[in-house]
Amino acid sequence: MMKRFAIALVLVLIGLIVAIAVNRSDDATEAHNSGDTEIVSNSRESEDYAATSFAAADSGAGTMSASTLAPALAPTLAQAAQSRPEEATDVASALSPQEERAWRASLPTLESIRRQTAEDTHRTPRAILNAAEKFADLIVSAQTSKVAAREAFRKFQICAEDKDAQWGTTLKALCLANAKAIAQQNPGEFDEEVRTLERNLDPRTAEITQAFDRL
Amino acid sequence: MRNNYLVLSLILAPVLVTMGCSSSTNSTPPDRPGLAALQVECNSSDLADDTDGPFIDPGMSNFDCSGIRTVYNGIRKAEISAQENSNFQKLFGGTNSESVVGFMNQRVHYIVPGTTNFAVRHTDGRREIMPWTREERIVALNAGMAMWLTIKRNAAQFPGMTFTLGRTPIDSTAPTSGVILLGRRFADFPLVDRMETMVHEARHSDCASVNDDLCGHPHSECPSDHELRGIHACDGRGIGPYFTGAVYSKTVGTTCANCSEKEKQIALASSLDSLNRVVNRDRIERGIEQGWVIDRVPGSSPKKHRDDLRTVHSSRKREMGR
Repeated sequence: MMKRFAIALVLVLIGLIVAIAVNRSDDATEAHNSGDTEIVSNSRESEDYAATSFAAADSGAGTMSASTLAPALAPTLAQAAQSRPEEATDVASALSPQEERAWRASLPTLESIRRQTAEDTHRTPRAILNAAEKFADLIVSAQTSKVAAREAFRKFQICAEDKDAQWGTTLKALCLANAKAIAQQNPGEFDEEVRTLERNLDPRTAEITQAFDRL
Repeated sequence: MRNNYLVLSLILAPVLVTMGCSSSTNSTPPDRPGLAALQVECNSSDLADDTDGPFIDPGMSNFDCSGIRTVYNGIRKAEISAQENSNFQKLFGGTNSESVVGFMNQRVHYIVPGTTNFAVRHTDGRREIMPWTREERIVALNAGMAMWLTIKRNAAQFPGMTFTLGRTPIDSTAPTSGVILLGRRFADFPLVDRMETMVHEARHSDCASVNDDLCGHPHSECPSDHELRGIHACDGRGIGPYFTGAVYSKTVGTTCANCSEKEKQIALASSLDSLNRVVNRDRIERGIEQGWVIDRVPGSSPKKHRDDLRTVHSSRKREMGR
């Protein structure tokens, strides 16, 4: 009887220690986020995320440049900074070389976009729409952890950089916007990478991004 | 025994608390159902009082008809909000979905399926001049504008040319009639993209003067320095259908409160793609200043077109036995 009671007591203690540790981690994350105007309570409805973050964007409270495209993604990313496990890794190594190759291969080439446009001149090529749907999955997954945010940022970074000029302007501009949106939700995490991206952007993508902001 | 329960609850309580905390910190927020949940069927009571919406040709299948109703429902119910004095407001006359519905109702009056044969009557022949409209590749087309352009380009060769839908003549003296053709593949595209497509096609109904190059806002070949060079997929005149679609989609992608993340990404992609096709963007502001935003052929009113097409619709229903 005493032996069983001792085991039970030990289990209770372990349970309590774990519970306290988790709560502390939450508190720390909350405190970390308290300076971000776009972070809203988890209990709010998504409409409230939109209202809060757009209000912040409109009033210039965003931490990044005044792009209208990046703040647009803030509502669904707002939850991201709520609680994330701390894992030390940098953006460049967020994806393995194999993962990078697979990601590059999964993006539609300019050639395929041209082909689809020629077939149906009026419409946005299906390849671009499919890629956009895939980007949405990344945006949602970026909310789950800092590691996922880095992976998503790295993918958008690769796409926006387009070192081999493989993808069209539309896709690059969208990837840049998504990368900036993730950076905006992770203050201080990707600032240098975003600056480099914007500095090295090809002129056509830079021009479309500016035109979009003025639209 | 009572002690055992006490011990068990003491063990379980912190474990359950811990599990609760874990689930709230690690779960992925699900993407919301978005506008796709607004699917409606043809003849749905939801749209029964839609007296200003377009007539749908009885030749349209119930499946495609439902697709169109869903697009209109999506346009109407998308919770969007544009800035005051924005391009959106200048184009649509307001800052929310209601203004877009108003814009559409002024420009889209009759929707026909991609299988439609726009027969042509003229003084000496029975030639079908627009067979290409029935090609599989055609997803959406402002047929009213295409008919007007066809007549304009062929009037000398075929005088007295008149288009008919079934046995009923259609007024094709201007591109403003608002007859839109939707191919079978239209339904394959995501809802948000279809919404943008309808706004784009609506803009083709605008015309300030039939002698003006801007009438109907026809597209042009992309220039040699454009990535779509050589393809007839650009707007060279600033505020045409691609610009209009880009403005609408941007507003959906950036402000839609009841869209899913997928829908917002698609809207942003559509907007950027459309904007990329506006090749003389320096003309945008000039166009707005010169009043090209809302233009209308003198004597051509949406009400007149709608009344004419109500007659066409009744006639078509009799022809089709529906």
